[in-house]
Amino acid sequence: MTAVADSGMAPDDGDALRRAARRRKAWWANGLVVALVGTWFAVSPFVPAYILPGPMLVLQKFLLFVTTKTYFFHLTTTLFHVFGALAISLSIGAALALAAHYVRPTRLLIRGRIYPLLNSFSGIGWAVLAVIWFGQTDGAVFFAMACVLVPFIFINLHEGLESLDAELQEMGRSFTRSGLRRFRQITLPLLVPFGFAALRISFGVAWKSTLLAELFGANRGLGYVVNQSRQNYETEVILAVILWIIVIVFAGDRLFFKPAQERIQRHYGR
Amino acid sequence: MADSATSKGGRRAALIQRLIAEGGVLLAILGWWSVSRTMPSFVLPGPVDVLAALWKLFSEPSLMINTVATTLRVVASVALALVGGLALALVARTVPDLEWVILRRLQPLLNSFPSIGWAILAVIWFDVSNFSVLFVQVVILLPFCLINLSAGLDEIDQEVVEMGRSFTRSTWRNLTMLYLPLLMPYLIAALRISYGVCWKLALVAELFGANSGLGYVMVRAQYTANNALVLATCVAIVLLFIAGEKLIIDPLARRFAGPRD
Amino acid sequence: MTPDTALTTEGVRPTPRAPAEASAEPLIRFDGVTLELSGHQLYRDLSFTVAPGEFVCILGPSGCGKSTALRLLGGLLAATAGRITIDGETPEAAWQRMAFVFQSPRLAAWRSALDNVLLARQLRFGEKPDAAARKRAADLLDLVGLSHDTAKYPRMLSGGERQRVSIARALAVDPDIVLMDEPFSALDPTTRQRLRAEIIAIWQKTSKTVLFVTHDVDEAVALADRILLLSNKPTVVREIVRIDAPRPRLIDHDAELRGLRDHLLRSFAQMESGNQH
Repeated sequence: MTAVADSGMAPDDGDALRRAARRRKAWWANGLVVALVGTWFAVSPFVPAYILPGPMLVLQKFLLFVTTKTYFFHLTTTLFHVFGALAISLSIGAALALAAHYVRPTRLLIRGRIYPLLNSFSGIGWAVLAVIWFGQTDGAVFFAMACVLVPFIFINLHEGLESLDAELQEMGRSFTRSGLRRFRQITLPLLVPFGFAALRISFGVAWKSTLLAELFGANRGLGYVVNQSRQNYETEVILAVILWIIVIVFAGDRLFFKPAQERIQRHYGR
Repeated sequence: MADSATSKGGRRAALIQRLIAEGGVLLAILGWWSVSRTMPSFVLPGPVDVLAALWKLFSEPSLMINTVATTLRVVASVALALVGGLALALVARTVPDLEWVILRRLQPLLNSFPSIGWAILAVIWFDVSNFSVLFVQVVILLPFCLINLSAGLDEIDQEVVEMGRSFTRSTWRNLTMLYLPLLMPYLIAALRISYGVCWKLALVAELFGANSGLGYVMVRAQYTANNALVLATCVAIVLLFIAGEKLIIDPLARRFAGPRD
Repeated sequence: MTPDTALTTEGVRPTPRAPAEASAEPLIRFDGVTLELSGHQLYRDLSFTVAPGEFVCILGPSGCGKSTALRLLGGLLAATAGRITIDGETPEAAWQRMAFVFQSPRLAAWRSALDNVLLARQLRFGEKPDAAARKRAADLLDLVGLSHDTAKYPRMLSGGERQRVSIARALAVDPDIVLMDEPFSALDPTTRQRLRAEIIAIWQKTSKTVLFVTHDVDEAVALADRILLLSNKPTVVREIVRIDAPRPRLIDHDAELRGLRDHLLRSFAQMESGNQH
């Protein structure tokens, strides 16, 4: 694109060229998707269904999650797990980040001990431990997911607090000595972009890790469905669940998180 | 802040932080120990049991083989993902028509695909094998590498290329003295992230798809309710991760990507 | 020797009216202030006074810690030794009588111009931004010439306009003393000229005491009742210059002001060369 701009063409020509280039990119991108799905259609009849079920079969199972009560129940259970875990993790992560920042003595404990442990401990380890300690309950799922999500949220808010605009902080101090007012009117708004970034990352991670947590720790939810289907060689159901997760994560990010984050950056950014 | 670190009060505060950090860890271990004494080992094994199991993972040949297998797979996957990610990023960069295919279709797809899904599909498609594990790990690491490396390639923009060309027409010199140093921080970041993700992932990838490795050990230990060994595999992963980061990645980063922070 | 006696400077008219600080009790008093920051002595025995309603410029070479004087006065920083008083009170007790205008406007990006002015009273008095408060804030924006831009966000304003908002914000808490820390140094020359004239107009209208830090000799000569010329580190008051010329001052058309500017520039050059060793 820069090459076009540098070649000294009239801006209108440049625009037209750019548009043409964009059209070609879109054509390739969508063409590839169509070609892949086409190949899938063509190949699947010649392969056993448990290895590669046909796209129509997967789509049929995909729709089952909204048309039949049992499957819908599993979907809503996972929804409940994801949003519950997000709320719990956000509270814990925020509490840890605030403590590490405002209660200096706890900083090394949180930043240098608790965070690295949570961050490097395998999610599956938490899931297995959760089942042992809590049985197959919602509590087990929440626990395992929170252990995975808290470090993401903590580190984002922590970085936010550490990089707070010092000039704005001093401006606040010149107007008031009330720490509470400064926190509400200056610190909190400055943190909003970081909190939202944390939420955006965690949303994707939460949907992906919920399968793992439910696989071990629940007798309902999408993870449970996947485990059942795995044992019954129902690959089409597994693919349908994966498709649900991709659709939710992708659509949630593109339709909500991305535009919202851009708006927030514009509003709160400098 | 630099002032307070050097002053007397700063040193005192640092000491207090240190005390609270180490004290907190000690307290947690003590708490774990005292609670574990009142509970059966299959619910909460004590620290000593876990330590003993951990030692076996690094010393008893039949178990150590699994530790080594997992380590080798992690190293291989990270290397493959870096190469693959760089290749994809280069294609997206040099073939404009394919830019969206890679960055707007492939990358979001891989990024939102749940790891457990890959783990199950890999077993169905490739059976229980080394390849199956490598496939799962590489395909999950790929988007991380791709994002970082294409951000790095963006750093080498038209202006830099022009500047380089104004001094020399030698592609080799431009590559080694300009492009590679510019890309290096991103390469190191990709390495660091995928290395960390891969260790956490190892257990998932080996859960269904392997008959060796720490994931395999953990699944079997779980079936036999040997919780000391379950915890030990998790701790082993943490230790191996930290060791690799301190001994390999941090020095690499210092050497090639300048001081961090 | 108190610095106030070291007043004789060529090119300055003998004072026709009695100096303000001689008649009235000084509002601000720095008395032998010493400041050490991480082992370095920044101020050594810094003393001066400011009378109520006076416009005083603190002028000095870069790096001599001019802005630090404002921070000490505003209680954002504590002195190592010596006394600072505002009407006999310590900065810790009197900080509510002052408001800052910083070098960069330091506006809250998420608040409109009006909401940024409201922020001042919300912070200082915990006041609810009700209709009356909004009216007052709008009046202040009118005073700084931004009556049409009250709903705009900082990113939509020019550098000069942002600094105007920050001046309105400082005035919002109705301070006795306005502390201005090189407020115009980041602006282009034309805007700087305009804002100088405006700040003088506002000062004359509101009769506040203004302490104005600058490293621009012209700016100090154009604005000040008195100029405190600071030395290199460790900083002391090197010279105090009284200017009684009426405003607006056109330095280029006034031989005495020109002479004063040349004198100050020479002092600057001396200090700069002293810095080399």
